[in-house]
Amino acid sequence: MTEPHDASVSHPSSAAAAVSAFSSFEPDDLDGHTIDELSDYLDAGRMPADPSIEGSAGCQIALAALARLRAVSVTLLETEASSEPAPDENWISGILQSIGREARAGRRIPVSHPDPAADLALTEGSVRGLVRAAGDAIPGLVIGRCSLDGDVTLPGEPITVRIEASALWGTSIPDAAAALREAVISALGRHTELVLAGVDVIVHDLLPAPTPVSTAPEGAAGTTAAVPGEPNGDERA
Amino acid sequence: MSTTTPAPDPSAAAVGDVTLAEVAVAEAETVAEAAVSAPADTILARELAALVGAVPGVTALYPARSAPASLVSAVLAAAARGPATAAAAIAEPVAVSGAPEALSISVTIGVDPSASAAELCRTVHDRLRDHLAAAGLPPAAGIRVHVGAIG
Repeated sequence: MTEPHDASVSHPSSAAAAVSAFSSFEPDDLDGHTIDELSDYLDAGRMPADPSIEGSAGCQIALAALARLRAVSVTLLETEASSEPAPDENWISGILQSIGREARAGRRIPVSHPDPAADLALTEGSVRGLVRAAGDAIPGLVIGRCSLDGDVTLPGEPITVRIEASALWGTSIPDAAAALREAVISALGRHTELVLAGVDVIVHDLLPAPTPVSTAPEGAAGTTAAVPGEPNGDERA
Repeated sequence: MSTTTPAPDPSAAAVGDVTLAEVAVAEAETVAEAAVSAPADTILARELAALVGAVPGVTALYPARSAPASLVSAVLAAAARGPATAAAAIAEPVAVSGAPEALSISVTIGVDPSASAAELCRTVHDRLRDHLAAAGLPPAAGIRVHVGAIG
């Protein structure tokens, strides 16, 4: 069920890398706004209110994810000076690209109703945002990508949730993966009628924790973190 | 009112301290004021927006299309109809279209994560359907309720 994944070395980066990554978005990704604009808007405390941002579901999803990512990034940047090897600027860039991509409305996920004239649905973007939010709430994990694999437009069709994440050094990956799966299953069960065939959690980076790095074994950072019993660090429900 | 009903997130400085219920009340009050100049479908759309905005768990109403597209079409429509309808033309959060005997209604909502998005979809649909019946209108040809964001 789980596809091969990139186990290349990657690390948290500087704020400059985050800013440079912003420019890679096309305006159409977020109802005419770029991640850069949304970042500035967030910096300004969402004042003055911009109706075109506040009126965009995609922008709201992206803003929420940006705010959570910033909180994590600040913590990681505090340890950047003492971490080795040098950070890779692609780390935050990749997450920002994912946030922008996932916030788009995407496919229509149906909601049942006995009235045939009822057209009820959740956007795929809202569900991906829900998954990301559930993941961001798990201590020790930083969510990279979320996707819904399978035909979500067909009622009753089993689908798989795929989540790629990074783990802070010292985090128990099996425990974190289990907590993430439980949170995602609970959230999707509450809000959707999706039938889950599985929740694949792929942890392929270890990030320096906000503690002295002298306790970390050499060469630990940047390797694929294998979960016992699962090859390549994959965990699934 | 703007195109979006403010979310009750205290961290969202843009929305201030105004609650969704207060916005809904204000929205309802503006319906009567707008009745003089707004077309009938716009008046109904505003009634329905107030109705949906007052449903517990609904945190926002989003225009069905992206904001820039909505604004472009609104400007074109307003130019065609004259300044009196310009304000009403811009991005009603509930879209009402079709003949009176076969209306189609569309709304995209934001949902509080403590609610159930699927259940809220059904609740909003039923409130809209019941409102039409109470107003003496025939059943809608279609009622579309989509969840655009959760949380």
